[in-house]
Amino acid sequence: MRPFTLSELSKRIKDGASQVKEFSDFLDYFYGQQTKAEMSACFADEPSQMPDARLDALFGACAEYLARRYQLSSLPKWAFQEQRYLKEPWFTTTGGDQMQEYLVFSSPAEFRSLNIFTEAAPF
Amino acid sequence: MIDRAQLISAFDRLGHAAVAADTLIDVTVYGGSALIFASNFRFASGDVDIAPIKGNQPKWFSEAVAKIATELGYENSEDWLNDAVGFHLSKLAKDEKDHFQYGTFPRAGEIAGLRVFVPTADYMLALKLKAIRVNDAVKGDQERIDIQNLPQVNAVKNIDEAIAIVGRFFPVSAKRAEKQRFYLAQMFTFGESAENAPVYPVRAF
Repeated sequence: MRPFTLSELSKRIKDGASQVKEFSDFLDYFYGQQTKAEMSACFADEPSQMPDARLDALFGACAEYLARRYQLSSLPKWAFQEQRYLKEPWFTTTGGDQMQEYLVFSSPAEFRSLNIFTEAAPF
Repeated sequence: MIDRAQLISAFDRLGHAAVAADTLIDVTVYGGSALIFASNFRFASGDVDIAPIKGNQPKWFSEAVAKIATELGYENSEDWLNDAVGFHLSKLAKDEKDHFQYGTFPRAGEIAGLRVFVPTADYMLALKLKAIRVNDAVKGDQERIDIQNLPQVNAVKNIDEAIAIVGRFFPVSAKRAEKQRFYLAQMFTFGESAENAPVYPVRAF
């Protein structure tokens, strides 16, 4: 099977592929890796810059979150680039103030730090 | 993404493969694909979730699935059809009571090779509410649409009724449903009769 990296994911989405399907397939591929080296390889290359700044941030959060969760030895430097930090908060909900307040507390640090407020276990 | 036409075409081909193998196989479809088949509010899905085939998956089935993957432009069989959903299903759900036969494939022809089953509307709602991925950064929009529509299909009028349905299939989850209750209260309305009311099941190809 061809390696499915975050970089590859960004290219596919940029080429018009479904964000939902590609992201799900990437996660399936990542979870299917047998070694930490193989997992780390999924994040090694920097993803393409996306037209939607939220996706740039999401890729960074995804890489750091999964790397910490699976205790991978190194965090990709690109995940901490300035473009990964959203200028405005992104609440991944249509709920109102109370839901947003909930997500402020539930969102993992790797997401909060990039100004993304989401589920406690996003993946 | 797989849309309804592609899905039906793919199952037609699986049905033809079953007929060629002189057999009849049952497949139960869950998630977005079940809604594509049998609702009027879901039109595409990332892939097709099916319950694991009972017994060993026959060789002809694997070969047909792989061939369809290629035709759909996917690299791997599991990119379009996967049976990893089994872990999420209810042990209390019964084949006959909590599922219904959506149709047989191939649609044209006198001999059916494939019978497709989908969960009933209440079981579908229970599965969706148990997972409640409505704030998912990537899938949240679609999940919200599904969860807004499924209570209407089930004539659910309030949160207690929704959680009661979860409890019929997942009693432990229903007892610890604070998250579901909070999300439902914050993000959804009940008892509204929309002009284009959601329907499930729609019994037509």
